[in-house]
Amino acid sequence: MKIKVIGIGGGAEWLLPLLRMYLEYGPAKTESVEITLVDGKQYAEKKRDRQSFHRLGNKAEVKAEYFRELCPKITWKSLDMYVTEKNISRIVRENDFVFCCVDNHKSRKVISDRTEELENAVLFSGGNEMTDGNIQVFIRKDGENVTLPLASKYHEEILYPRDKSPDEMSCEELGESEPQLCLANNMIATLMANAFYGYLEGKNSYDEAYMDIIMNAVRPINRSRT
Amino acid sequence: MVDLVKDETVTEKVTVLCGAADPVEVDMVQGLTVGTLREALVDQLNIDPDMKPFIGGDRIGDNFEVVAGDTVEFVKEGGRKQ
Repeated sequence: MKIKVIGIGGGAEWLLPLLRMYLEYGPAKTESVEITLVDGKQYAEKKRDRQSFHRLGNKAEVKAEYFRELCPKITWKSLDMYVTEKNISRIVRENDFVFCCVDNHKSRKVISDRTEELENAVLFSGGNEMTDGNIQVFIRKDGENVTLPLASKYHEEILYPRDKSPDEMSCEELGESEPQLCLANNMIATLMANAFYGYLEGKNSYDEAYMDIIMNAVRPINRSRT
Repeated sequence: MVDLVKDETVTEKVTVLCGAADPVEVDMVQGLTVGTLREALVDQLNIDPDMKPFIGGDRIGDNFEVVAGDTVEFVKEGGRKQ
């Protein structure tokens, strides 16, 4: 099983321990697991309110280093880069499980479009605002869309993204970030991990789920049936 | 603020969805539009003015008249950050 986790921020912070524990000790007990972490950003001290790290450095490299020590049964790889239209075909490949944890819609579209080119792949994507957010599950099987891509008529913000991807940003822009809560990151990561489990168990019944931490509510929805 | 009719004897309903909130069922009345639903449920469902309404996979406008049994979803944009 090959897993790509793209974007090692506040969501991946909670997602990676869940994946690690489930894949190492859970009922799946997959024989061979390779997890590749992808991010071009560096850890910064000011992000400690939502992210933990044992040293400064590239996020993907530092996290892979940490998990290699913690869990040598899984092969941990890292790519110090941002996903772009040019490099995405080298990152997301056939039969991959992809966890999209990026912080912009432009990168989501690049990853969704690439997944749509593949015969078989599963993409779990999540994003949050301060106290709410959503996850999406895009399943490609035998060259067909089983569920909707991230970029669809329902999500024009991804279909026609107006934001910038990190590779287009200046150093100043990269250093800026809007406030977030680790609680929202945690819930999104949990929903993504739950969707992964549901897929592996053959019980996936939705292509999107909204969450709100104030209401403590989650609403799954299957738009692929409409 | 628009008040929707609430009559226990009315069995024909329209369901309205938005984000993570529980679905809301409202009584069907002649000429009920998507815009009326948006205005009436703006606070209860936290409907943003920019949210696009859909029925059965079709994008519709606020002037669209719903019929009994319709499920109207005001689609919330995906979260951007992580």
